[in-house]
Amino acid sequence: MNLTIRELILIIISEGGGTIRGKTNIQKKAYFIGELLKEKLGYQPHYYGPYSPAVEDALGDLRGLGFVEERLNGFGGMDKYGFETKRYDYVLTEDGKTIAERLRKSKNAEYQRIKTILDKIKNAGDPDYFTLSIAAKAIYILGIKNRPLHQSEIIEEARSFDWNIPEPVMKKAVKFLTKMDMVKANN
Amino acid sequence: MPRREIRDPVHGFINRSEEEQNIIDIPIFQRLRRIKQLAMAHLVYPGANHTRFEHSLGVMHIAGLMCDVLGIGEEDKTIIRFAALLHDIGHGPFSHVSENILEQFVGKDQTKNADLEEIHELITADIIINNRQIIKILGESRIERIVNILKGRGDPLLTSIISGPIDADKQDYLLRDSYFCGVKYGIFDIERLHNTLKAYNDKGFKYLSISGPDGIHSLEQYILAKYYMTTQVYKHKIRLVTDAMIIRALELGILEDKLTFLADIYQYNNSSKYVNNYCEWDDNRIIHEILKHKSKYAKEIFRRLIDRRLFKNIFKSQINRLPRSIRTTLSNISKPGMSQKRINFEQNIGEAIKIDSRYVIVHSYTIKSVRPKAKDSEGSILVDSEGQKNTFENESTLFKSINAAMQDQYIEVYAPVIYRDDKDKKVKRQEYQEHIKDIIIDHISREN
Repeated sequence: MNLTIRELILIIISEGGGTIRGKTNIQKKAYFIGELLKEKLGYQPHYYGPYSPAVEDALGDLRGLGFVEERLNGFGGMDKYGFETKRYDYVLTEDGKTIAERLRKSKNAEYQRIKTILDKIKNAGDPDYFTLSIAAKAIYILGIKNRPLHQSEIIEEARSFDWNIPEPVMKKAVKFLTKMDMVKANN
Repeated sequence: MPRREIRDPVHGFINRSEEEQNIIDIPIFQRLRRIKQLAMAHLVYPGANHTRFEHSLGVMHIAGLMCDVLGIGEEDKTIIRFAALLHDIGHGPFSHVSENILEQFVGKDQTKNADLEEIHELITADIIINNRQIIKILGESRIERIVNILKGRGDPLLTSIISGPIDADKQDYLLRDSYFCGVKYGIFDIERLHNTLKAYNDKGFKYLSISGPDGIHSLEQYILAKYYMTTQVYKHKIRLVTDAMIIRALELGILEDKLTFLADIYQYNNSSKYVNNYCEWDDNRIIHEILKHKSKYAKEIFRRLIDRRLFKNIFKSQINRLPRSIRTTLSNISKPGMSQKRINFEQNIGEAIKIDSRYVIVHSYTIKSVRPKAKDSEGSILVDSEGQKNTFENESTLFKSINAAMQDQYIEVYAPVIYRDDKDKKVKRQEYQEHIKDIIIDHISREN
């Protein structure tokens, strides 16, 4: 991948219509992109799913450069699923939009590769950030076990995460992973 | 095993086992006494003469304390303490300053399989795996575990003690650097912080967490300590100049003065010949050899450093106040891959202010913790408040504001200018500021 992590995040936000809700969303989308392109983006296990300090850092750099703004979007405690309700939207500034457009022109092949994966995520149901978290965590944990992944195992793993996640949400995560061709159907 | 005690100005008594003492006694560990923790920061803070040696002992001590509060078993604790003791053994002369030179001159194939590691960390692993004395004391199976932990592989709880947002390394250097620089910025309540640490077990992974709300306040205090040490000490305006001068001196020593002994130190490869040579060098030996040689540029800059005739900061700007088309280039200008752009830019400035461009230093940096790699964010630490789990980032409003401030990016220019008096200084600084800004915008825009 001939892109820096900063450039990857610019593309993720740009292709999200210029705004991404929640840092978790950026982290997990970058995670899936890294997995599918087999790129090392510094992901480590975390309670909320795989987390990359390098992605966090690059997002901070983009804010420092004035290309991305962080806007508070409501605040409070925990929602019924056990996820935080205080979230921040990450928005491309006008300068950021210009830079993203320049990137699309100057590194078009790479840009399109990332866009293809982001479109795949969208077509697979474009899950919200906590479904993405469940899916990413399932892939991460089961990937460490290094064996074929089946839908029923994903549901079982998601259930045992000690989150109060309703069945429809768990099935959504599994459906997403199936459409991404990252899990196999049961035999 | 019987434990022995060492007196330490920061921690009081530091215990060590016989095996730990055996490691401390080997020459390659004793070398750390000759590598200053903060390079030439003593030119700003005269007391800052502490070395990697006592820092390594301090990290071992804190790592042991963290293992105790987190309920980590003796076998794992022993490994963690050895990892902490040895974590800096691969540091080069002038500590982190050397890293910049190592990155510049390393061949791409030498680091292609490394997991976002710094080169001194690769050298640390090389030393631990291959040093006969270390092998004899620790044995190969323990060495493998130690190296894996230093590389961040394995149980996240164990690795986070050595490398993470509140690792033992940071805790020690904040307190130690604060003490020896004679400032109070880095002081935080380490006992309170440790009292709030917990291990959270999730699907076979254990994560470092803190108990809220006391843990939140302890962590906030720690973050404030880190922030103020960064802004007031690590990124002190004079310290940035001295670090930049050392880097420039070493670069010129290799590229212009053709000092082969410098090239041999800084062109990393993982051969035993390279590592053995690397371990023969420390701060004083490099300075001595450069001054003794018939070098021109490296000698000039090190002579200036020793005599404290430092370059002056003649330009400073926040990068996000400059045109957007040049911001990315400027933020990367100090990185190894940007050398030619930086050199061209320095030549333009040198011509404009009539100074040899080899002594004009363009430097960009972010206000972050001294450790350049991105393992510093405390935002992801789990907070356990009466069974409810959340990230620290979502629990602490203080964290957000500090974290935002720690992402400001700056560009500065240093050069050996002379001011006749304060009035001359004021006039010339104004001229330099305007002139160099025009050069930046014009030059970088053209290059882009």
